Amino acid sequence: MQNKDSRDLFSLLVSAAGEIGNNSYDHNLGQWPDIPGIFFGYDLNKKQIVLVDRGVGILETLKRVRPNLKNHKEALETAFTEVISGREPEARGNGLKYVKKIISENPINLFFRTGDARLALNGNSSNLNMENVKENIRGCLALISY
Amino acid sequence: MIMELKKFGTTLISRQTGKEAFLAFRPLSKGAKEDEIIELNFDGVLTFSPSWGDEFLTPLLNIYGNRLILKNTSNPSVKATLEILETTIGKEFRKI
Repeated sequence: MQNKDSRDLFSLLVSAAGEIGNNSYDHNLGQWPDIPGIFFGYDLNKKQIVLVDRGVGILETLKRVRPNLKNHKEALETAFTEVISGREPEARGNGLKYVKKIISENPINLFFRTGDARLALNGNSSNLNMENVKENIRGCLALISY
Repeated sequence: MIMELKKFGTTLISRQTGKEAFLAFRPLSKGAKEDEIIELNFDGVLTFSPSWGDEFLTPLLNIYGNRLILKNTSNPSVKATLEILETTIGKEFRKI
């Protein structure tokens, strides 16, 4: 990868990781169920960045403003496609849409888990690949690869 | 009035620091004349994100409207952030 290309890509990777990590704190402040904070790790050789929290998760966060959300998968889809915030009336809710946008235009991939839902976003594509899984996890897990 | 954003740091990504930057800049920008241009220069900024931008740029755009001008916005995270903020708030930033 050439210097300018890698500089451009890293600019986007850092901002995407920043948005995901910031969400963990913004939406769990004062409400961490057990362990506060996030796990953050990266490996430049493997080209992977991981962010994990044991917060309340996307469904519980968005249910505050969308009480009719039925499950984690629905909440995950809403979070990545609609400008909506679990901290209304604050004007928030851009973060995950931003992550989706830059992935759709760049060679960056995202694997995301919350509750029993799983999402995969592949680089240079705007398709949301979502499914339910058997194992239910607390909080959120994000794996960014490039 | 010209503000070099790199004075706030080169990795501008959290809501908290965006809000602090706005609170620090607001008294300075209040000193601008009624028709003075407020120019924000992104030169030297390595990474920018919607959280920081929403706390800093959105209120400035609401206050100054067309008097707010953004310069050197070619960094990909700056470009992508401005696009998503413009979509969300339904207004466009002036860029040179």
